[in-house]
Amino acid sequence: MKKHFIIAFFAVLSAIVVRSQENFIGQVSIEYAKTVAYWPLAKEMWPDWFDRQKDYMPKEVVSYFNFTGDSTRSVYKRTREPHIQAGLWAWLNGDENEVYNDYKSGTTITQKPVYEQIYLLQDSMLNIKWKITPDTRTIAGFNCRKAIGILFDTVAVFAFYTDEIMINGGPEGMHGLPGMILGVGIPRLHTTWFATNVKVLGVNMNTVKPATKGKKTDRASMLSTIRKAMKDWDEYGQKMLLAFTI
Amino acid sequence: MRKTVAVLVLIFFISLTAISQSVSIKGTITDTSEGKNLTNAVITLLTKKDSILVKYTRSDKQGNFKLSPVDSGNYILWITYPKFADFTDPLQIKPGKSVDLGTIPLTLKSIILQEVVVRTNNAIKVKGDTTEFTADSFHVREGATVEELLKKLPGLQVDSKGKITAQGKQVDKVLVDGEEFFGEDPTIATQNIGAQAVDKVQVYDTKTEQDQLKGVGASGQGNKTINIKLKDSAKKGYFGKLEAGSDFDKLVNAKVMYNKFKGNQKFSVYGTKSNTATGSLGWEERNKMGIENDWEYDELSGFNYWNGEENEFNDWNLKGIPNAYTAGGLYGNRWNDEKTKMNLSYLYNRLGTTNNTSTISQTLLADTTFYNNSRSRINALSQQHAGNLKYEWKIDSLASIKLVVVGTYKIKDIASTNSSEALNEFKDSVNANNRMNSSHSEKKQLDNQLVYKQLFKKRDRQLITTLRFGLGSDDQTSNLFSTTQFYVNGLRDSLDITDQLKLNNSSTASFGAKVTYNEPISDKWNIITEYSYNNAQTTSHRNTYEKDPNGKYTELNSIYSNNFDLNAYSNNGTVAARYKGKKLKGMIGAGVSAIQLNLDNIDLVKKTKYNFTGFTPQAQLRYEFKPQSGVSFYYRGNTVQPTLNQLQPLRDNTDPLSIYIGNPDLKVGFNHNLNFNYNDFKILKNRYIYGNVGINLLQNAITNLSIVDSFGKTTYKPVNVDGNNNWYLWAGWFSGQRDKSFNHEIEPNANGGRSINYINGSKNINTYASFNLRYSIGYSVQDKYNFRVGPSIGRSLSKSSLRPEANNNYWTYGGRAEGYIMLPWKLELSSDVDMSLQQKTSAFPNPVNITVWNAELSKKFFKDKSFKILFTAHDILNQNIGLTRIINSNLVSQQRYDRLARYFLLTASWTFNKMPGK
Repeated sequence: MKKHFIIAFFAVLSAIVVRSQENFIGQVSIEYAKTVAYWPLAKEMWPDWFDRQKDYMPKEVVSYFNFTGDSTRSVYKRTREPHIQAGLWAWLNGDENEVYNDYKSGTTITQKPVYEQIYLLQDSMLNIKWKITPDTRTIAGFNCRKAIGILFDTVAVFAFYTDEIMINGGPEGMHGLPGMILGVGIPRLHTTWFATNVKVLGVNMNTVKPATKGKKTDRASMLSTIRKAMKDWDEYGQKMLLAFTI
Repeated sequence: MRKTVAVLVLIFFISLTAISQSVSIKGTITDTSEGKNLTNAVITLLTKKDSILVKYTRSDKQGNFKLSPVDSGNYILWITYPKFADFTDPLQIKPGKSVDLGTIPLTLKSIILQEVVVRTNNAIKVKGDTTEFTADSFHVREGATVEELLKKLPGLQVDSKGKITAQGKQVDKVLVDGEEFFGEDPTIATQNIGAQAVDKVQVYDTKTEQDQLKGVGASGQGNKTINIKLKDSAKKGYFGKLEAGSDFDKLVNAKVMYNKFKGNQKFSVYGTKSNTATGSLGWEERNKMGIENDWEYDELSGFNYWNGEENEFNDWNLKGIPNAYTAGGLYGNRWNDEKTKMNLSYLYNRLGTTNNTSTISQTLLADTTFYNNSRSRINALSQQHAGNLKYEWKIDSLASIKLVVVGTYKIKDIASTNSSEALNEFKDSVNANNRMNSSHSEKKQLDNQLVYKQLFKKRDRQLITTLRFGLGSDDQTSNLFSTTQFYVNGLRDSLDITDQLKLNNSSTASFGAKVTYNEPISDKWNIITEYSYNNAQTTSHRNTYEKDPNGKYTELNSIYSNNFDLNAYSNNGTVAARYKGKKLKGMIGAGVSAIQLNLDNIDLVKKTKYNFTGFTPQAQLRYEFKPQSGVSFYYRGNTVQPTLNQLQPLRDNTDPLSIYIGNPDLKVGFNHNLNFNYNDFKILKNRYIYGNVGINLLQNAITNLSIVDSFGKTTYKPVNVDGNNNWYLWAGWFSGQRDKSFNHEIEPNANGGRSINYINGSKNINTYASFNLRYSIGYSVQDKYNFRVGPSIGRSLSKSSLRPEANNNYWTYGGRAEGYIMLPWKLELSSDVDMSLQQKTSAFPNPVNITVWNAELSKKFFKDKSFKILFTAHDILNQNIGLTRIINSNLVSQQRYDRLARYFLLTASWTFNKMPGK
């Protein structure tokens, strides 16, 4: 009895001690809203066409994704397709990636449907060069810091991450910051991902499994195939190449 | 010995790398106020030069951390912990020297609110959370950038790196005219736009997260956004083109285009003259001039439809030698935040053509054959004035109004001479006809359409109301002079002379209303209902006058005169259900209509009422088994009402050898169309396959009962028949469409059918089919050369049950070859050859071989290639001629008509433009 009392006492004490420190989160289930600003995207791709056709295009296209994981592994996939009003015209790509990351080994297994082919990409995680800025903003209740990333030496990525979540991941293949990325913007794709809901309790880690279907490949050979196919596609091809890569 | 040295060298290098890599940074993080160690603090190492993230770790339960391995260099150590102020410290790491930083204390954040003072005068306005500066109130030097302007604005600071602070808060977003992502890096906008172009600078709090989800861009709690509104005058520019060409003999081509835009206003004018084409602007040019191409979305079928009008000024419809002029002007404007849009345009076309036609034909009867040869010469002048007004107003986010007013005025003058002879099976003359027609017609049409579209809070629910009102008139004056000689046994039997004046006037007023309502039942199902009402009132006067002895046309010919009023009503209701799943999409629905025609024949003082019921069932199904690959099936049934002219024709003797009579007993026909489509586009493999096959089955089809008398004169009467059908197939296989590889195209297509008619009392079943296969291979190296060669082969089959022994089957061969090469001195040479060889048949004694070979040599000048000189050699072999073969039940004919043959043209063209911001 006395023994039990002591254990209970220490349990309460340790709880108090823990509370006096910040609550760091080790497991999460995050919903991201991916927003493509379709008008500026279309304007860049079809400048002569845009003014005439814009009323037949959605202004923006929103789809939803879920990220579930802990500091060792995570999975990211689409939960809700965009709703595009009947009669409108929109062509979106790179919208169905299913990303599984293993943070210990720094590897990823990503299922990428690219036109007629479903790829199962097995490679190291994307190499992003991050530059930290002093800016902050709050996303889904978390105080986030802004970092600017450079992909492939040319593409700018804006990311907001929080060190309160102890997972070094993010939407799509974004990772490599000291915390969880809750907001991403890629100006070249006119696309943003923002966390709309962060669930901390009752996270089901059983769902965190890599996709199995698809043609096994690595990033370099997948890219060379797509690059070859889109060589003559100019601006549009370059955009799509990027959309498929991230 | 050598081995030892190698081992030593190896050891040396290992120790060396070990020294440079073994460096680590250690420390312990504590809380200054409570003295407790902080767990999970993020310790980050950034490069000192550009803040690039190098390494990071978190402190353990005791607050200890170790960053390892670390290369030597200059760093910034950055430590963060929620609700604590950041710790930053420069850190120099020397080779081989690990660093122990000991205890690093962190302090809780204290927030200092900065007071903001906002002055208000004419230059500055404060509205809600927005502060607006009028740019011109703040003086900057000539050629200054926005950054310099911002520095002048009270409450704004710009540091040496371009970082902007507004009212004490960080500016994280700079928009230009509200455009997002112009530069996430604010300096892109601020350092590249001239201050002179700025109308206003607005500073406001970056929007809340909910708003942000709708827009794009980054913002922070309490951060500021700057919106730079440009002056309308800064958004001006122009574009233009001048082109002139001639063969220095008869042909002159010229084109002038100018397009100017200023803010949301657009103004264009153009003019063309052509002796080689109709002079109409091409698609791209129309686009650049801002001439709208109308797409309309059909709620029922779920497709966008092209509303572009087919007109005679289209190059595709051109027959004969043209002399064309066109001119046009357009004004477009958008205002009220682009919620109101207006377009006003005027287009003028003038097309003169001269065409010589020769036709040989055979009329196959059960017991005999008639041969007919004719020649005609037509001089035509068509003019059209078209005015167009389009006004759109988005009342709010859910409601919008669109008004379209189109007015056209067409004037057409035609003078033609025609001579024909008909021969019997022994090649004896049965008739010979010479006639001259001249006519002048004026057609006026005014169409008004008002569309009101209402969306609702519930997604996909919508109500569209369309009202139409139209007025039209058509006035024609024509003269007919015709002499026909009839022969019996090769001897002249009789002579028929017609010399008449025809005055035709008609006017129509039409009114229509349509309501379409779309109701979403679930995410995937939608129900669409549509109701429409149409009414058209027509008055038609067609009077024919014979020449009196005084040479004046005063005597009314009542046979060829017809005066009536027609009042037509229709009510139409349609219901359809549409399904849209991920892979499966479909639609099923049907429409019912009631049509009433009230005919008041003024000449006969007789009123007739016709009632028809229409029925249009339709179904669509599409299954996409992969992206860009799928099958679709389509069915549509529709009733086919007889036209008034079929029920009770207006007697017309323009061609005295073909006479039409009506049939008031005609029944309503029904047409079933079934279509199946397959497409598979493999983008990565670069292969595309499509196939389309369909059939039309006709019940109670309206066809002709014709009676040919011994003089070769034909009388036609429409009758109903069952069993008519036609089918079609087209498909394609494309592979390797890319630079520096051979690409192949295979395109088979076929069509055929069965048509039934009656000739001199006998039923004639005509079956026909034609097959064509084209293969082509091409290769291209961008900006160097390319070529493509595509031979084709075809077979045409037809059989008439009345004359099964008459063989009109023939082969066609042909193809197209084209090439392009970049020659030295940037001279570009391109050439193409079209070949068409049609075999002779029993009806067409000579094979027809036409080879059209064109070539073009050009050179572009100036750095921006804006000036071009072009030498065109058209139809080098001088063989170009129009040819149409028609094998239609018992009539087999071949027509040749004029087309512009060989010519050489020297053309110069210059494009110029000035785009905003330059």
